[in-house]
Amino acid sequence: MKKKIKDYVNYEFRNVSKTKEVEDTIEEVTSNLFDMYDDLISKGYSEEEAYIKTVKNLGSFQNEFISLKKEEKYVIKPKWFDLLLVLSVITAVFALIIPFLDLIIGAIILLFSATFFGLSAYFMYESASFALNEKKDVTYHNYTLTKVLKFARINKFFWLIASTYIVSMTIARILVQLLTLNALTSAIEDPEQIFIIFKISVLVFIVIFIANFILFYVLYNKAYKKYYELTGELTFVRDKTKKPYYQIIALLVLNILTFLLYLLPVAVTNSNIYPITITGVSLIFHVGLPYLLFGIMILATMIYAILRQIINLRNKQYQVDIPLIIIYSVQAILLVVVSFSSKIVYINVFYTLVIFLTLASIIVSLINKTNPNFKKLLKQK
Amino acid sequence: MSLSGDLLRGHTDAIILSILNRGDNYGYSINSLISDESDGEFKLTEATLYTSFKRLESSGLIESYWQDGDHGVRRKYYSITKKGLDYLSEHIASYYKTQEILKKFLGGSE
Repeated sequence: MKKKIKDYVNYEFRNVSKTKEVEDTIEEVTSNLFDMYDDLISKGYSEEEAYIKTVKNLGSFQNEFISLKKEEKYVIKPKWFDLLLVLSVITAVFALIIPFLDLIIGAIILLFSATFFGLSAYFMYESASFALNEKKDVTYHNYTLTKVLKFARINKFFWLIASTYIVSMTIARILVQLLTLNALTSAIEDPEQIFIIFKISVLVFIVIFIANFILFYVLYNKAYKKYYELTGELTFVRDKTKKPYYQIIALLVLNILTFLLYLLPVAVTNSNIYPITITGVSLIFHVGLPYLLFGIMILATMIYAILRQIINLRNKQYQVDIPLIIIYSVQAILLVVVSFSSKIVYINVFYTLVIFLTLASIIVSLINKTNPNFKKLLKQK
Repeated sequence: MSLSGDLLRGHTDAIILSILNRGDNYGYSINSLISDESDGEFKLTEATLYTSFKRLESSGLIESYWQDGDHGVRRKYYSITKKGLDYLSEHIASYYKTQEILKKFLGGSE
C-alpha cells in the first residue's frame, strides 16, 4: 500500500519537471501521507479504506507547479487577409504537384501563391503597424507579424521545390530544342541522346536548386531580421534544450536507403560486355580502375554517413554538423562524375536515383541549418 | 460547516504558526492537530498545507529541516522564527480587534 501511495503522489506530479524543489515536495508529501495512512490503520480502517482516505487528502498540486507551464493563448478573430495567408499555402501545395503535369499551369499557380502571400503580408504588416501606432497594441502587432513569418516559413519549402522544378525544366526544354535543331531531326529516338538530355535536366536541376536555395535562405533571413527588429521576439530560433532526434532518424533512413539502392541488383544484362547482375558497386568493378576508385570512395562516404548518424544518435548529438554535409556533397559529386562519364543506360538511371537520395540527405541536413542564428542577430544589434 | 471552514481558511497561516509556537513539528502532525482541535471541522489537504508552508517559509516566518522518520522516508520539520513570532502576535492582536468589531454587529442582544 505504501508503494501505491508513492505511485499516486508521483502520478500527481507527472507533468512537472523534477527539480530539487519538486523532489523535496514529493518526499515531504509522501512522508505525510505515510503517517496519515499508519494513523488510519491504527484507528482500525482497512488497508483499502485507509489508502483511499489518504490519497484523497492529497489535494491538487496542479496550480502550484503546473500552472507555470500553461501560457495564455492570444486569439484574435481572423480577418480576410488571414484567409489569403491560408490560401497561399494551399496554392503552394498545388504549385508543388501541378508542374509535374503541366509546367505552365504550375507556374501560374505558383505565381498565385506568391501573390496571395504578398497581398496578405502587406495588409497584415499595415494592420500590425496601425495597431501598434494608433492603439498601442503590442500583442496584436507581434501576433500578426509572427503569423506572417510562420506562413513564410511553410511556403518557402513548397516555393523552393516548385520554382526549381519549373525553372530547370524550362531551361532543359530550351536546351532540348537547341539540340534537336542541331541534329536536324524532329524527334529524338536514340536512347543515348535521350540520356544526354536526361543528364542535362538533372544537372540543370541541381544548379538551379542550389541557386534557389541560397536565394530563399537569404530572403528568409532578411525577413526574419526585419521581424526581429520589429517585434524583438526570437520565436523561430531553435530551442537548443529541445533537441529533435527525428531529423537524425530521417537522415539515417535516407542514408541506409541510398546504401541499399547502391548495392541493389538493378538489372541482369545479357550483353557480352557485362554478363552479370548489375549493381551500383559491381558494375563499377567491371568498368576500369578509375571507376573502381570512385566506387570505393562512394561506398566509403555512404558507410561514413551511416556510422556518423548512429554515433550521433548514441551520443545524443542531434545537430547535423558541417562535415556531414561536406561528405554528402562529395558523395553527390562522385556519383555525378561516374554517372556522366558512363555510357551505360542502366548506370545513368540508377545513379540518378542514388544522386537524388543523396540530395535529399543534403536538403534534410540543411533544413536544420536554415534557422537564422540568434547570436549573429544579437551581434549585429 | 462551510461557513466556519471559510472563516478558518483565512487564518490558515496563523493557525499553523500557533501550532509551531508550541514546538517544532511536521506536516501530518500539524494537520492532525488542526483536525483534532477543530473537531474535524477543519482539515487541510496536503496541497493546501504545502502551499501554506511554502508561503510562510519564503517570507521567513518559519524554517525547515529534514529528520529521519519511522518508515525510512525523511520528515520535514518546521520551526517558527523570530519574525514568525512577531507576525503571530500581530495577527492575534488584529484578530482580537476584529472580534471586538464583529461582536458589536453580530454579537446579538445581551
